[in-house]
Amino acid sequence: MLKKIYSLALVSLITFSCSSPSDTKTETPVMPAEESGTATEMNNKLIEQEENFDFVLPSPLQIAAIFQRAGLNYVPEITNPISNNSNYNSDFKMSLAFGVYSADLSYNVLNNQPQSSLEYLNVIRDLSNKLGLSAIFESEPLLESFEANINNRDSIVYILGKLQKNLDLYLDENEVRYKSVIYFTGAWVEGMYIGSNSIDTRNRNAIANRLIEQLSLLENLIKGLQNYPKKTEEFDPVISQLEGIRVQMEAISKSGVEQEDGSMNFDVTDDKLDILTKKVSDLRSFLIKP
Amino acid sequence: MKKIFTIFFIVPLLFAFQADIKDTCNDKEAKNKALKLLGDYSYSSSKTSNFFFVNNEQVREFEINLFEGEDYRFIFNNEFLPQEVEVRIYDKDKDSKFRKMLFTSKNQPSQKEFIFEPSWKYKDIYIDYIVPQAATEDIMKGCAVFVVGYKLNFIN
Repeated sequence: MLKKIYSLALVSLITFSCSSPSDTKTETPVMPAEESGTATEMNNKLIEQEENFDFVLPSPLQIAAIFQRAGLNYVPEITNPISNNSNYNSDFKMSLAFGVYSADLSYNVLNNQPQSSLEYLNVIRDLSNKLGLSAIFESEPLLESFEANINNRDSIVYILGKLQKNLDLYLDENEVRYKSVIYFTGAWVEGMYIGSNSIDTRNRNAIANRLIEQLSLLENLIKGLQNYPKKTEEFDPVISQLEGIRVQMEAISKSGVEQEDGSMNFDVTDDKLDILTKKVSDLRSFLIKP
Repeated sequence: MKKIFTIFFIVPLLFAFQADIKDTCNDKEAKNKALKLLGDYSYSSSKTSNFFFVNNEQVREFEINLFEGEDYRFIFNNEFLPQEVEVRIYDKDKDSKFRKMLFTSKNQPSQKEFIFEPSWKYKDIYIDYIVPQAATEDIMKGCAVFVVGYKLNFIN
């Protein structure tokens, strides 16, 4: 009797293991479904997560490049001092600072400031260690490449692109891509701060137009922060100040007239520009304070 | 005796009836392949979209903002999907009655990687994935990868 049971059991084991769903023509990994999950339920959960972040944010370097192309002047003391780095203690503050310093690094690189660029890269590496992002520097000798090519802007720009790629890959692999919204908030505010505080008579209209052009991106940024999965009270003042900037930008954007070449020209009076600059500067002060 | 019965009969049966997910996604490889198509464009950002294939067709949309005077290259890698997913690119979002389709991958069913270079004049671009109804009763999951490149035109 026992022998029969063993035989039957063995046959059943072999049969089930041979008819495993993973035994398909392709080498598709198979994982158990969550206990309560039908495909539709799991899909709905996925859709909900993705709809909260249904946009693509550019890199800090690209934002810096947009203002640079509009004729931005280099103002040496405008960036966040490196010494401030030691003042940031919470994850939220460090994440924002990571973005702020990324924008500062881009600004220095695009303005051919090799020594400052290296210093800002070191700050970013320090913050990435504190934020558990050290892997973005470890996969390849980025810092060494940066130092070796410090006087070659094209190479440095390429290395910054690699750093951004590594960051995105790391966040995706660890399923925490939503964190990029905080990093980008820091970078975006710093980019806007540098842009709005570097205006002179020569570049005024070009930069003012570039500032207002950022409205759609800002709307997505606010949406991303509002839907952040582990939102804390620290988010509230940042969101409300971004909202204030959005209202001001939206009011100016209504004056936009499309030119023959498809570009937009906004009627940005000095008063309106001053209000916008002040709102951006206030938020930036809030972000960089400990 | 009871233990033997449990181990050899009940446990295999449990495994046999448990719903499994066949996940074809390999986003790292998909992204690496897409990055190779950047050419002389600089990397800006990327997005991995995950899909379960269910009993009905789904439309999944996301937005990308373009900036004046910039040259862009969009790269799509749909290689790691269990079924064909159509990519459509529009100038307005799905709620707009007057939106114009700028690109569809429908005419290239055998191709898994696509390149599209939009004009910045569209300002905001909307990318739709048309995810078909599941072709099998198995729970199938996959992912599509999207990479954005841009040119740093002003660097001499």
